This record gives sequence, C-alpha cells and structure tokens, in this order.
Amino acid sequence: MRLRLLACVGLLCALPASGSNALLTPPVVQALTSIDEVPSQTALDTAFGSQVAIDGLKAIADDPMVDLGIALPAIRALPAYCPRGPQACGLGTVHDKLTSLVDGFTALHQPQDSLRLRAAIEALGATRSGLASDAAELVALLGNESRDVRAAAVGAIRNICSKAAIAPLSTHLFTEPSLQVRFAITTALRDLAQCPGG
Amino acid sequence: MFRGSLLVCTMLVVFAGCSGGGGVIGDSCRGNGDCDGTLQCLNHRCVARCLRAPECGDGYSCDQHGSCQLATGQAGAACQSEVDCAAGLSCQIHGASVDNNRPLSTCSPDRATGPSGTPCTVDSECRNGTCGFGRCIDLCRQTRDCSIGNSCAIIPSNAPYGGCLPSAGRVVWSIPVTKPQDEILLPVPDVARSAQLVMSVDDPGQKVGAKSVLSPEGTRVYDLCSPPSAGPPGCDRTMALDQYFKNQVRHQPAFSQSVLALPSGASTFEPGVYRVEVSSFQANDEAGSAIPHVTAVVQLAAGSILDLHFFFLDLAGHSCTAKTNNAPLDASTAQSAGYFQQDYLGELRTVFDSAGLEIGATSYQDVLDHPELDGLAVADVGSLLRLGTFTTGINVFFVRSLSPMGLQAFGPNPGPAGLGGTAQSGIVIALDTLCYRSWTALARLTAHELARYMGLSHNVELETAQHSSWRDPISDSDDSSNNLMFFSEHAEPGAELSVGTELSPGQRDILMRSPVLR
Repeated sequence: MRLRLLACVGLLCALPASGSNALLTPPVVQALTSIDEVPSQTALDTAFGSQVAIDGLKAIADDPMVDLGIALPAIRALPAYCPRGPQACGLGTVHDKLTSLVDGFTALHQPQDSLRLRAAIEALGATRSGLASDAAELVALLGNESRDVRAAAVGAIRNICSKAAIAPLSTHLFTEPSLQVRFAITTALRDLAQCPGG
Repeated sequence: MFRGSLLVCTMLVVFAGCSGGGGVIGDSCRGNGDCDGTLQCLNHRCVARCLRAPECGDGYSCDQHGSCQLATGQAGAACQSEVDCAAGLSCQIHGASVDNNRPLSTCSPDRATGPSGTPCTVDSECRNGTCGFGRCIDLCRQTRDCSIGNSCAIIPSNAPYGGCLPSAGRVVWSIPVTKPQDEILLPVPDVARSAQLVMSVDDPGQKVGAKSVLSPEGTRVYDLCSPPSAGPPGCDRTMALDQYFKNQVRHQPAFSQSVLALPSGASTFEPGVYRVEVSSFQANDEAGSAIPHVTAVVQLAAGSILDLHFFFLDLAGHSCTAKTNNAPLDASTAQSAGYFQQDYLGELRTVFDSAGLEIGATSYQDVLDHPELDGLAVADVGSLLRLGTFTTGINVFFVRSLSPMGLQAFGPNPGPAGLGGTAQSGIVIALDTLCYRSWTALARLTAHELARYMGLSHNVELETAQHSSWRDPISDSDDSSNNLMFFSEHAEPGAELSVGTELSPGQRDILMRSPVLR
C-alpha cells in the first residue's frame, strides 16, 4: 500500500526540466535530488530501471536544460561507473565524458556553468586516473577567475595523483591570491609527494 | 472544635490575608497571629511566607500554608526528604539497601562537601551523599521540598527515590567508561522528555557507538548487527541496514563521535534505567581499542523555542551573488537583508511554527580565519562543526560549497544537544544551492536538516521501494514527498524543486522532545 502510494506520488512529481532531452522519470529525479546523501550506484541503477544508468547520467550531464539540482549529482555520479581496479578509470567512456565535460563547461561563463564545471572537475578527480594529461588539463584551470573553480581543480589534481602536477602547482602557489586555494595547494603538494611515479 | 477553628484561621491567613496582629517584616512575634496575614512568625520575627523549604533555612520544611515547620528527624531517624531532618543533618541514602521498595535513607550529619546542585561525579562529593545526573541531589517527597527552579522527580535506581532536579532545561553529565567495551547505565527520571548519549573517542580512525540498549522493562530496543569477523551470523550491508531500521531506537556507530537519542519513535520512551553497551570499533567494525567518552543529556521538560546560531565562512565572490544582492553574504548583511530575514528566516519560522515550535534567539558571526573550510569536503565536516560552540539551539554553518558537488546540506542525525565544540555540533548549508534554488527553498532544506539534527529520520529512504521496512519508526508518518523529512526534493506542477513541509503528529512529538529546545 505504502509502496503504491510512493509510486503514485512519484508519478505526480513534475519534471522540472521542460524541453530536456534527458529521460527524467520521477525515480531518477528523486534519486539525484537526495538532500543530504549521495545516491549509491545500486540506487541509481534501480532508479533508471530499464534504461542503462550510465547512459542516462551522461544524457543529463549533457543537457543544459536540466535543473542543476539534478545535473550536478548526475555529473558527480559518473565516476561510480568506472571500470573496477586501480587507475582503471583512465580510459573508457566515463573518463572521456568527464574530460569533454570539463572542456565544454570551461568555455561557458554563466554562474550555473561554473557549478557544472566544478562538478565535472571534481568527478574527473574522483577517477583517480593518475594520468599526467588529466593533471595538465586541470592545471590549466588554475587561471580561472573563480576561486571556487581553482579550489576544485586543486582538489581534483590531488585526487588524480600524478606527480607531474607538483611543479606547476608549486609555481602557482606563489601567485595564487586566495587563501582557500593556497591552503588546498599546500595540502595537495603534501599528498602528491606520496603518489607513485617519478 | 479547636482544630477546626485553627484550620479556618489558617485558611483565612493564607487566602484572605486576615489582619492578624498586623506585624510587618522584622517585627517580633510569638505566633503567626501576630504578623500580617501575608507573613508568618519564624524564630520570633515576622517573615514572608515560604513557597519552598530552602527559604526557611536548614532543618525546616514548608507546609502547604506557606509556614516553615521545624524538622524533627534526629541522627539515625528514617527519612524520605531533606526536610525531614533537623539542622546539620541531611537525608542520606545508605548504599543499595532497600526498605519497603525505597532506598534505606536516614538523617545523617552533613558532609563538608557540595550542596544540592553542585557538580559531582561520586556520592562522597555531596553534602548529602547523593550524586546523580552529575549533580548533588537533595532527596524530596514533593516539589515544595526543593528550591525554586527545581522539582521533585522520581530518580530511577535499584529502588527509585524522590530527588530535586531542575524544573526546565536539561541536565548534562559525564558517565565514566573504563574500557573499550563497557556497559553503562542511563537513568531517566519520570519527568524526562528525552535523553541522549553522546559517545566519542580520541582516535579519529576508530568508530564509537552503542552495541545494544535494554529498556528499563528489559526490552532490547537496539541491537547492532555484528560484522562478519565478529562472529556468526555476521552482517552484510543490507542486513546491517535491515537491523538499523528494525530497531526501535535508531543509532549507528560512527567515526570519532556518535549520538544515541531516545526516543526515536513516538512510543518507545519510558522512565527508568537503560542499560547501554558502548564500544569503540576499528574501521572494519571489529572491536576497537579506544576507550569511549560518554556524555549523557536528559531533557527535563518540554521546550518549544529553537535558537539558531548562524556562522558564515568567507563567501565573498561566490558565483551566486545575484541571490545576495550582488554583495557577499556575511554576519552583518544577514542581520538586515530581506532575503535572509524575510525569505529565509521567515520560511524557517513558518515550517517550525506548524510543528508548534518557535524560532527564538538568532546570532550571527563570521568565520574568516578558516579558509581551508570555505569549500568543504564532507569528510572534513567535523573540523568545521567543532567551531560550533553554542550549547543551546543549533549551530548553522554557511559554506561556499559541499563536496561531493550536488550535496546541498549535511549534518548529524541526530546531533548532540547541550554540547558545543564537538565534531557534530551543527549543520552545514552549501551556498552553491542558491545558484539554482530560492531562499525559500534553502530555508526548507535547512529545516529538513535541523529536524534531522533534532532526531527525525527520513519518512522514507531512497531505497524504500526495494526494502519496505527502510523508513522512519514513527507510526503515523506517511510516505508523502510533501513531508519535511522526505529524502529528496519534489516539485509541485510549475514550481521549483523543493523540500516538503508537512509533519505528522508523531514527527512533531519527536521534534518537541528534542533537548536542543528551551
């Protein structure tokens, strides 16, 4: 009875992104707009039902019409669909999607684009790819005018865990105006020293 | 005949203010009849009538007519209340001895230690040899025996007794724990509305929490599902969650600190002594080595006022300044800006008003010396919440962003009451949300998180569709997405996504019991 009621409530839930290309069923909206928790991969798979979850998440990430409250968690959830194994997310569709999202959102300049960019940056970091190319892409964002974007980039560089980022981060530390970002760089440099590789 | 006349006269003195002798305060007298009707004759002087025995001085009780009566109990005499014993003596309990279902207590010489209300950890620190709830307690038979601001409550022990406790607010005290896994007793007096155990360990790499809770009636109201390595049958994630949702009392051990709150549902709270097995745990859920620190908080009377303390990290230059009139949101602007006072606080007041609660005092302060916390990863939330030093109400922190991105708010469920400066002392709101939500929506989001801090669970969880028992323990809350505690946002047709505002009577009851209220 209660489950039926839940389903009924779900059907009544209005889809917030009129004109959206993404398939936003009520379960998907509810899963992605969880207020104080990050939806698990199992929960997302269930929410997407017969649709392949990774495809649904990508569609949402690509769609500028989707409500940000839905889009940000969708972008952030992508790394959960990386192949298993150490640094196994350096290749494949998830990684490629995230790098293309970072590229695409960097070129946009509305406040909401900045949030999408930060979500993509953070998600790319969460792949922990170890790739110097990923680190280089993120280092390029240290010149972004938003300190939130720069802080997100530093955090992602730290998670990527490529020692190739140490030198540019060290250089940037001397010119970075934001205390928040400088603190993040200091922390990242400490952790990057422990990463594998020369 | 004579007794009848005396009674009539006394009644007249008390209720009609009969002229009596007309003596004023300080006049000499030989009896109450020599004094003005509003006074009494005590030690040959006209003095004010008493409301409580302590106004009469040591060795007196205060009768129902407001007259001080000399106590007659001498050393060794049986007593039930402090007012039974003559001056210089106090009514003291003798160990665990029981007489007629009451603790054996006699008038005994005062000890040269703390009077009633003094903080204590052991009985010997108290003048009357009774330490309970972290304070020296006078024995009593009725509230008149206690000082103003205190009431006579039934104190649970092996034989319950009457003790003077504050009439309002809460009592907070430490419960000593001597080993990593230990059983403690949580006494809950009859006047209590709720109780909490705040458990913490010094090692941030270890978890801490309760393994089991037995109610005063001996019912197991909480049981932790054991991990696989801790013995059969073991628990996988689903089994652990099944057990979590099955327990009458909702609780999960957590790293550094966790809170066990009673009650979780509408009908699982009873006075008496709860037996709680507390433990530290390794990260893999095996038995830990850290010795838990335990603080108990008991809310003694219903509160209805929620104080909020707002903290603002450095929010300058945030992407969403259009929602803050293109100026940084800080303590100063929040106190005057319409978007904060009307749209945000106004909506918070509306939501809590429907629950019978009032937003009381609000305070505002900037946190500009912690740039490392401006954009906050959830893993570091404890570092921020430790800055929440207020011990009444709830601390609310505004940060630039929360990581993982998309997370709009975060806080403990439940949060510690009466304790500032802990890793769970507040909730966090991400300003990012304002890039795509209104201040009204942000207020509802905050209300949801505040309610979780106060002990409410999600009415349904994200995975309730797969696991029907995964929902709150409150019998009258429905599955509506309009409920304040629904796990996600929802939208009415044509409206923005937002948090619901409805609450069931059972949910309101839990909120009103919260020890964060005054």
